[in-house]
Amino acid sequence: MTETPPSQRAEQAGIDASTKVPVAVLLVCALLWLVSGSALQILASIQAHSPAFLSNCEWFTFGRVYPAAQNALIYGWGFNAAFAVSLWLMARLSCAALRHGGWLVAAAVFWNVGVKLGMLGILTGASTSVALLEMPRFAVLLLLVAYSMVAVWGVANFSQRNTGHAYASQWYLLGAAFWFPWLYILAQGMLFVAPARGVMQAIVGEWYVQGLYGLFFIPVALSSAYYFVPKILGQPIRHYFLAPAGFWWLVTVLPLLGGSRLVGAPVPVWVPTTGVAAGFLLLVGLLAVGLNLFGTVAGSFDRVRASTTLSFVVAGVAFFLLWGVLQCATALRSVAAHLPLTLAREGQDWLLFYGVFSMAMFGAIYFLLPRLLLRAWPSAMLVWTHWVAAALGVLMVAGVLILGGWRQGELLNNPAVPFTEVAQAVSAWLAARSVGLMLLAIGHIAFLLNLGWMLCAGRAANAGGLIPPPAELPLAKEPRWQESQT
Amino acid sequence: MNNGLALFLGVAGVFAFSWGAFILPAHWQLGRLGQYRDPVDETLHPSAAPGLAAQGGEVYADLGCVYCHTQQVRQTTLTRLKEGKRAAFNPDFERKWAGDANQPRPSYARDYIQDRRVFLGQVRLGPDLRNVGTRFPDDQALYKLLFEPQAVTKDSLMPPHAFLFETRPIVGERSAKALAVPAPPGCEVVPTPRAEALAAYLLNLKDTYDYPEERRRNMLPSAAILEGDR
Repeated sequence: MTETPPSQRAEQAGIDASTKVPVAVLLVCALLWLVSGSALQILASIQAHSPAFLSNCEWFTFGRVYPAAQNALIYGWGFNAAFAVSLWLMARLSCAALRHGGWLVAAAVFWNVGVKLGMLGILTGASTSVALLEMPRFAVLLLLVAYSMVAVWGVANFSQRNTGHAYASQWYLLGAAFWFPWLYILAQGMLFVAPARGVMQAIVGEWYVQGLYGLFFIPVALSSAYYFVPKILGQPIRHYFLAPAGFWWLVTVLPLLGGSRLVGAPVPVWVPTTGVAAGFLLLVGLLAVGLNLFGTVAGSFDRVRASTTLSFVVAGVAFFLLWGVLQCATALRSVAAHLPLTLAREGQDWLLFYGVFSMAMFGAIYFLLPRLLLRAWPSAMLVWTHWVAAALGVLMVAGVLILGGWRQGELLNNPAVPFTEVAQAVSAWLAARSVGLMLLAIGHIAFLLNLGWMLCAGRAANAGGLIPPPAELPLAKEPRWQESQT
Repeated sequence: MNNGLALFLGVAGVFAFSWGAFILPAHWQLGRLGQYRDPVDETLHPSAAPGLAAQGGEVYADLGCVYCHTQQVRQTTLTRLKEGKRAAFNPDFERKWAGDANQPRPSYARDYIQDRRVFLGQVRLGPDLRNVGTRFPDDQALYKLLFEPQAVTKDSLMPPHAFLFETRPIVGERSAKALAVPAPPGCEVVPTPRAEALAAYLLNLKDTYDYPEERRRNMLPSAAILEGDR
């Protein structure tokens, strides 16, 4: 592990302190969304195999709960967490304090009010039914205002950096800061302000969804992987010369994958073909990132296991490689005949959003919160529960959806099987998905409990109480939860 | 990679590329599709949806039907052994999801140009609805399905949409729209305006007109597969 000289350490503490208020506010919001979002996910998933459940209430009909649950996870948990981690990471890597960070609390309020209004709109029937763009127009403006505030602060922080160079994490963060609003504005414009005609809407919709994952969530996840792996292991990134190539390659190829979501659809054939080809091109980028990150980790797996942050982050990178390989496998002709329009797509998206992005964010939060609040995580048991539940849960949800989707596709392609039998077969897989989602929810509750305990225990300690705050928190050192218990 | 401006230009370039390579050419290609004038009776196809059906599209969006139902007849061509010979078939056609049973065809991009909002859909938890209008004789059959799907198909996964209907006391004569479902004595179950709009929308979903140019282009691959098998 790297030892930071005392002078730098003081500076780092100052930078961390400058991000404390906005980051803490964003993270608390993110966690609340995570828990409420997973409750909605479970509700929607149960409704998918038990259609009578809560069907009398129009607000809670499946067609509304499902998009609401997706939006809560993506815009509620995903964005709040991404904002918090990005702002903190950018400030640290730029060696520049976040100035006037208090204003970002306003941005956090705007964003969360916007998401709440959007959710309310979906549940009351103003949904647009366009994947991940369901929120009605009145929420969109609020979201854009809030986002631009966060992005301006992040980019300003980067441009005031006190370092001569820009590190890989910063490229990803800077890109993500610009790409999301461009994507969002263009998609809103081409779908709702001046709607494109016919199936062009579907193409724009899939381009947005893939862009959201590929140009926002993946870059944020990779930026934290590029930071924490060398930081905690105390080793520089291996084969760092590959990092720029990996960056440009990935961000060029990832949005093109949108086409692979339209295999078999009534769109020009080159659209899905481009997507499938991009899936194979992706492998080159994955190779570069894999060589960088796993090259650094290789030989130190026991240290990865010992560190809370790294066990989450490295699992996230592994899920990313798995997702990439699956993306290629599903493009093979014999597989592609079965998988379109089945549950498999959702399974792959879970792997991407939860397996890659959320895991990386969990790891980052376990690292940064103790440093901001100067309090230790109170329970190692809860951390362990969270990790096991998250890793097993996402494997189960994604696995069930992909295998179930494969079976569904086989049955759908066999006209001798009546449709009701297909639905029956699918409902068993959907029930398994509910179990997987409950597993995830257990992890989220453990996480929330730990956070609540941390906040309360800290207050008690300040009041002369039970658990003393750590006397000296090693800043460049991972607070291993075994130690932080004492 | 240390120069902020160069990095920004690269970032902007990446985005411009993804838009320029994906959206722009598709728009250029699809934006030119117009209605087709039938050379014989000079009618225009596809025609715009009538007012009530267009309103029904909003109900379809608000209830999130798209999360279980697709609206696209695919042109997937698979092969299977039939009487010792390999024969090409399209599963969507055999499920009777294509409009005309005698002359089934996949969905074409042109079919959608009059739709205000296009609901291609992602997953088939329920049957494809692109030609649902050809499968239901009238709105009563649809109302029954929407009111209580499990009464129509026992193991259906579709949630009941009873909130689209109103149970009210019969005043004078029984409403002509009343559903043939069990109701409390002296009461009847009638569709709300939203249910009527949704039914109008669904009944209007049928692509029965075949466009000569699209048929020529789209039928080629399956013919080629059969050719190759011989």
